[in-house]
Amino acid sequence: MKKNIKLISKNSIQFRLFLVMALMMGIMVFVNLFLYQQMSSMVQKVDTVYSSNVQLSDISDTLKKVEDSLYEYLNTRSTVSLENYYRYSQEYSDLVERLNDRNVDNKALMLEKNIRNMSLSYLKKTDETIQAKRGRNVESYRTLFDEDRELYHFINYYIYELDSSQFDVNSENYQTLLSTIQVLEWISILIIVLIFIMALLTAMILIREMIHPLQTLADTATLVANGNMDVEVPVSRRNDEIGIVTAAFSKMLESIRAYIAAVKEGLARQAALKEHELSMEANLKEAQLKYLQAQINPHFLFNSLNAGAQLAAMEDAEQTGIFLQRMSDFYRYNVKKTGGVSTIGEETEAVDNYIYILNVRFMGDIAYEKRIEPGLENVQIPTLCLQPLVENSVTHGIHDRMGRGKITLTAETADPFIQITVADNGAGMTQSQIAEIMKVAAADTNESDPASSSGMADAFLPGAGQADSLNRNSVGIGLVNVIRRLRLFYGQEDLLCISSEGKGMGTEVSILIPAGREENKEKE
Amino acid sequence: MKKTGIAAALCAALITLLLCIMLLYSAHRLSAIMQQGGDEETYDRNYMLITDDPSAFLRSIYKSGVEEAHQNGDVLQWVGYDSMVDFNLEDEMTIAAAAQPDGIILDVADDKMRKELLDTACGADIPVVLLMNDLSDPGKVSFVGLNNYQIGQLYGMQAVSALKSGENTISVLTRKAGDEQQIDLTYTQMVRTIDSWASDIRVTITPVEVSQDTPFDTEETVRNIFLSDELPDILICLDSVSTECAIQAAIDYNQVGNVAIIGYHASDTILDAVKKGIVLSTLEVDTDEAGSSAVQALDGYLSEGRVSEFFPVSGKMITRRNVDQYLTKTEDTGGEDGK
Repeated sequence: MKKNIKLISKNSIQFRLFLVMALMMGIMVFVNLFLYQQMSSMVQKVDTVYSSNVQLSDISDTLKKVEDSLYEYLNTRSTVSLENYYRYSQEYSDLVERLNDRNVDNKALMLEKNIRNMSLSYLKKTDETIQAKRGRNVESYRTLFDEDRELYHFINYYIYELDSSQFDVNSENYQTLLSTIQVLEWISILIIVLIFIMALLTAMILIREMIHPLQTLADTATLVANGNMDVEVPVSRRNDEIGIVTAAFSKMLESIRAYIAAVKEGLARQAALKEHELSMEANLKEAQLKYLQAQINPHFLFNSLNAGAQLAAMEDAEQTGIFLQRMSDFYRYNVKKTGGVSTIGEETEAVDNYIYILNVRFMGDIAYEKRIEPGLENVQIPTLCLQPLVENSVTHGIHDRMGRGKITLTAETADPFIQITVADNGAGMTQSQIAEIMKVAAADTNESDPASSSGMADAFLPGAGQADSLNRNSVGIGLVNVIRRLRLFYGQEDLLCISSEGKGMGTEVSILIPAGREENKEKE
Repeated sequence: MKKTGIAAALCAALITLLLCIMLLYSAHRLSAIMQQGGDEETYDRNYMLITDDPSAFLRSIYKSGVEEAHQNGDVLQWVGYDSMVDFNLEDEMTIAAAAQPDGIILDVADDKMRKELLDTACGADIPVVLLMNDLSDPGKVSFVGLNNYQIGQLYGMQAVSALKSGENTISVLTRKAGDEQQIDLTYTQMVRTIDSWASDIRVTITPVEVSQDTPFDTEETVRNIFLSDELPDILICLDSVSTECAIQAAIDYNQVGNVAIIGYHASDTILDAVKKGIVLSTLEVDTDEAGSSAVQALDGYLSEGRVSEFFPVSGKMITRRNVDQYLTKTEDTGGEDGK
């Protein structure tokens, strides 16, 4: 309510509209009253124009009544006629008393005075006539009646003359008044038309004054809606509703701009943060890669390992020398054969080296058995197919069962395939885990996890926990990589299968190699 | 928007202007009507003029009488003048007696009628001043008119100037034969003057009466003179009507120059005739003096009770020599105006 009252201030549109309407209405009322008053006075004057003629007509009529009643009385001497005479003579006397009795330089008024005086003389004479009649003075009342009659005629002549002259004057006045009324009517019509036009013009001005800022505001809003946030909001110095709307719009626009700026700033910060993160990650990975590369640098590695073997030989540390030599062989195989083709014999040898290294690490806790069908050593298979499987068996199968863990590697003919199986008696896998792995393997991804191609390297990375985590995570990835390479190498699906009877029941991973690949076909 | 504002302001200005015009116009029109009655000056006394002579001569006297009356705070009315009904003298007097004016100015040629009317007025207690025609009656207040001796002398001198050698006939037109006393005085003086100034010439002077019983008698009488076998050498007219009739008859019967007309009054027609030589000379009565003296006589009676006074009215002969100055005077005053 207070807000409503505030709006109905002298600056509000409501008030101004009211003011203008009131003003126009006031002007209309005033003008109408004025016109009415003018016309009314004219009409009143018209009504009275012939009043003098009416008055004279009354006088003439009454005079006739006096004369007739006098004659009637003289003729019949009736009481009624006498009463009539007295009544009409009084009436007539009252009427003529209203006529002019001043000496003025005006013919009509002097006529009135003459009529008045003659009438008074006439009434005096008629009274004398009545008296003479009552006194039965026949000669007297007859003579007097003749004089009365004569005077009666003279009075009538004068009344007629006055009536005519006044009629002429009154007719002129009447025409004057009529013409004046006509002129006033035309002026009135003109005034009303002008008031109408003025009201229209005033309304136009008022509406334009109200609409123009709204139009400007609407145009500005359209520009803002079209994305131009830098548009200038028209400044309104008005304190009315439109001013309030304009100010509110301006505030809203400022808020939007501030919000957009804040959002942009936030996005920029996020982007910077993300960029930093990515940069960190990239750097980390680069570092990791470089570190790995530094570590996997064959010359460095080989030289180091050879140096170590020589050192061990020099120090008569045979086991150490063998260990270092077997490590050197393992890494040499990894480096030379990465991405290429090997034979089953070479792969199993690499597995042997891997197991030997792990057993050194875990003090012979990993039991390993290899059964290769003769004649299969030269069958080609993609490089590093078997080692990742064995690595997974170590990492995920028997890792928690060190001392009791056993890994079996077999290669046998299973027409039309050559089946190579890596089995362990470790943790086993659930069917869902198997399905998940196979699902991941079935997805078309080009990513290769460097960790899965060198499981051994992961075991030696600093932060073994993280490395373990990576390794654990690399089960799917390593297998995925193997499955992908088998698919690419042989052009067939389903060349790797995983089976397990459940948790704690061990796992068997089998590779099915289509028969017919000879040693001489090497793929780079 | 500026144009709209200007247009609206213009409309407002026009409305205001029209309202003012309307106010002023209606006020002006109403005041013109209102002024027709009520604001006139009130005068003290009301006088009435009764006459049987509606000529320009009387109108001139009436006009001066009205002016004198206004100056003295009186109003003068001419009974029956400009009336739709043709009242006779008795009617007019009856009307005047009933209207009860403060005084009556009476100009009636006929003695008997004059006496009758005077008695009627006296019976109604209304004072009467006789104009141009006197009456020896105690009922009158005063007399305003011509000095008959002077008039007779003036006419006589004019007649002498027109006499030819040998026999001359002079006809003298009078308004009424019954006006014997005045006619006698004027006539006698006229004859005396002619005799004394033209004793060696034979002159026959004949009075011709013009009856006032019926209208247009004067014109008929004058026509008869011009149609008769014996046209007089000199025709003397003692009133303005007979003078104008004589002028017209002289023109109509081609007698201009054959009869010397000596007339009465200085109306435009008569002055023009003097200038053209149709009329030898005309007696100009100072009508201003006559009218004003009549009103003064009544004022004197009502204010101071003065009675039985004689207010002489001067006369002057207008001839061809001095007619121009009278014609000029007539042009300046816009011609005759009886009312």
